[in-house]
This record gives sequence, structure tokens and C-alpha cells, in this order.
Amino acid sequence: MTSRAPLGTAAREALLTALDAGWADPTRLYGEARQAQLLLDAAKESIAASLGVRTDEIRFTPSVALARRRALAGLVPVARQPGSVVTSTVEHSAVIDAAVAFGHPVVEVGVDTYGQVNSDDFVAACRPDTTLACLQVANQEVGTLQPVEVVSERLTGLGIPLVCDASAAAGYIKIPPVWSVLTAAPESFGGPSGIGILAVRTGVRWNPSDFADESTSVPLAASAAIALEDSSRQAAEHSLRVSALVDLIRARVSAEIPDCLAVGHPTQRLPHVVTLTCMYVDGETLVRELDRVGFSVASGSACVADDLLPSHVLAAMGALTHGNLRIGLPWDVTLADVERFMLELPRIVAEARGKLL
Amino acid sequence: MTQPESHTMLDERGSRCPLPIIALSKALAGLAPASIVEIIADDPAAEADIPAWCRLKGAHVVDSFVAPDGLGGVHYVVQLPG
Repeated sequence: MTSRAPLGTAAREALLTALDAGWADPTRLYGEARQAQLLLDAAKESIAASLGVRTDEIRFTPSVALARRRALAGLVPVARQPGSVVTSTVEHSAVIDAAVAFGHPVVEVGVDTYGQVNSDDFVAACRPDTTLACLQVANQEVGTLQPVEVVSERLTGLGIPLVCDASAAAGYIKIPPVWSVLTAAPESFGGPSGIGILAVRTGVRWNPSDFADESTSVPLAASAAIALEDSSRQAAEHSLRVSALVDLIRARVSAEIPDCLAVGHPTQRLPHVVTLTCMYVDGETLVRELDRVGFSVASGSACVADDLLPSHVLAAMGALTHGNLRIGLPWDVTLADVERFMLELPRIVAEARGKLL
Repeated sequence: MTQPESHTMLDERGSRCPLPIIALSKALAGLAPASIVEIIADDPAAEADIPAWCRLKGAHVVDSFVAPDGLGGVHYVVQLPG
């Protein structure tokens, strides 16, 4: 699962327009097909510009999970070195699963209590025969940034390709151009679901049995491109303001609600994500009650449906795996919204505790 | 076998998170500082949550072992903050 944001207005309009104008298979030669190809090329160009990469480095996949799998599938079969895959204990589970599926030994490097990898530890885990390394730009559950720039600089000397999962970060921060392969998630930056972005750096050894544009939904690609432009533009405008609101929530929760605290790095983090641990409550109850008063938040709780395994990210951080709320603030969030949230949350936590104690 | 008076046993097998943590928190409220609480839990989340609660509260997991009675679960021996 990737944390989703609602489809933005411009992205929705682009989707509707492209449903009419871009229905055809872009690999064909008739008029509508050429029009679809033009739309697809424009989408790639726009996404490349937003990410600061070359247009021919952009590919689309039918899902974000598939982008993560193909990132590895493109590198592993042509790797010079048939050794380990080095990653972190807080990568998206799809990344870890994909790494395990190749049958190479997977080395998961641990994190501190903020969920951050130590770059020395990560580089030390890379051996001369390491096939590739995977490190997220930012963590999807707690927003903590990873030291991808330092790691990349040191891996380059070793000739080890670096896969960066930017599914939580793209559209919210500038992505450091330090990766060999990058994955991004339109559904998390106000684009549509059902499409993933995969960028492969020119010159990276890549499995040529790659997929063609015929598998790409042109309308979804066009919409994703507009969403990324839109979110990136809003990030430039609102990032500092929204980040200050995150600081406010972090401070007020610790001060005003007993046994509640923010997890994740206080400063080296995404501008819009705050994850709270409320001890002695069930996160699902908090999500339901917050929803009732008009706040959509996600629970990072252990006790989701019949899946009793705790969140591997929170467990790796040494955080409690129950009673967690992941809040992604939209760019148009206001101080009044935050004040109303802080008015409701203490009561909701107290009532949820009352039911269990 | 005799145990010190401050050694409290809590059998929380069958209770799901966050109930084992709530039981620990009640023990913290009712027991002398530095008391030993031994809690048995079989929710997989307890493996992460009990050490996490201890870290947040200044308590320590001093020992943990698979339940010797064959009924499943893990014993966590916790020293409350002094």
C-alpha cells in the first residue's frame, strides 16, 4: 500500500481530457494512435522536467508495486556481480519482497529510533560483490529522510547501482539526482492510481527485455504528469508553511496529550507527514473517530483486519506498533485545520482509552 | 521456589495489542519503582511493543524466553523504572 492523496483538480481534468484524446494504442500508426503517442511523449517530458532527468529515462508501469519490482528485474539479470542486495529494514515491503524473490542474499540494514539509516552502516554492508543497493528517499510511514546522497557518493566508487524508492517523496521534495534507478508513485502526489513511474539513468546496465509503451495507459500518464507538476509547484510555495504546521502538531501532541508523541525525525523529514503514537489505544479506533469528525488519516497500527503482524517499519524503529496515526497534510491545509484537529484529538484519545482501560 | 515480593506475573496470552501494554502500564502505576514484572504475551506485536514501551517509559526488558509451559507465548521480564 502507498499512502494516497486525493486526485488534484488539474490532474482530474487532464485525465478526463486524455480519456477522450488518448484512448488509442500509442504504438500504432493511425491518427488517433499518433495523438496518443504525442500525449504520452508530453507526459514523459513533463515528468522528466519535474524530476530533473532526461525524457528518455522515464518509463511507466501499470502499478507502483510493479515499478518497484521492475527496478530490480532490470538490474539483477545483467549485474556484473551476483552477490547480495543491500537494503534497509524500513523499505516498502514490496521492495524487500522483490529483493528476496530474486534469490540473492538480502542484507537489511537497521535504523535508529527515527527510522533513519546510518550511511556508514549502509555502505559497510555493501561488499565488493554486492549486486545492487536499495534505499528509499523518504520513509512512507514516518516521513524520515534517508541519507541517499552520502550513500550514493560512496557506492559510485564501488560500482554498485543504487535504486531509490521515491514513492513517498516525489512531488513533496526535490529528489536528489543520485540514483541509478528511481521509482515514484503518482497516487501519493495527487495523481491517479493504477500507474507507476520508473526512471532508469542513462548508462546504467539494464536488462534489455524491457516493456514497451503499449502497456501504458496514456490518460493515467497524462494525469500523473500534471499532478507531479502541480504538487511540485505547490511544494515550492507551501513547503515551509506546511512543515511549520507539522512542527506545531508534534509539539502540541507531546505537550497536551498524555502518553502521545510524534515518531520519525523532527527535522530531516518530508514537509507534510507527521506520525503520532498514542499509547494504550487501538489505532483503528482513532482512525474511525477522526473520520467521524472529518479527518482522513491512516493507521500504522499492528492490528489491521486479520493481519496480526506489526508494521515492520515501526518495529524496526523500536516504536510501538499500535495506536499510530499517519497524517499527511495537504498543501492547502490551514492553521485553523490544525487547531481543530488538536481540539478533537485529545478527546478522541481519552475516549478510546476509556473503552480499553 | 520463592520469588521476591516485587516479582509480579501477568499472563496476557490471548489478549491483543494494546492490551498487554495496558497491563504493564497498570503495573507501573501500582508497583514500587524498580519492581520486576514478568508478562507472558502471544500477540506477535508484543515482540516489538513491549521493548518499545519500556524504552519510552525508562523500563528495561531484562530477559525474554519462550513460555516453558508449552501453552505458547513469550515471557518478558521487565524491570520498571527506578
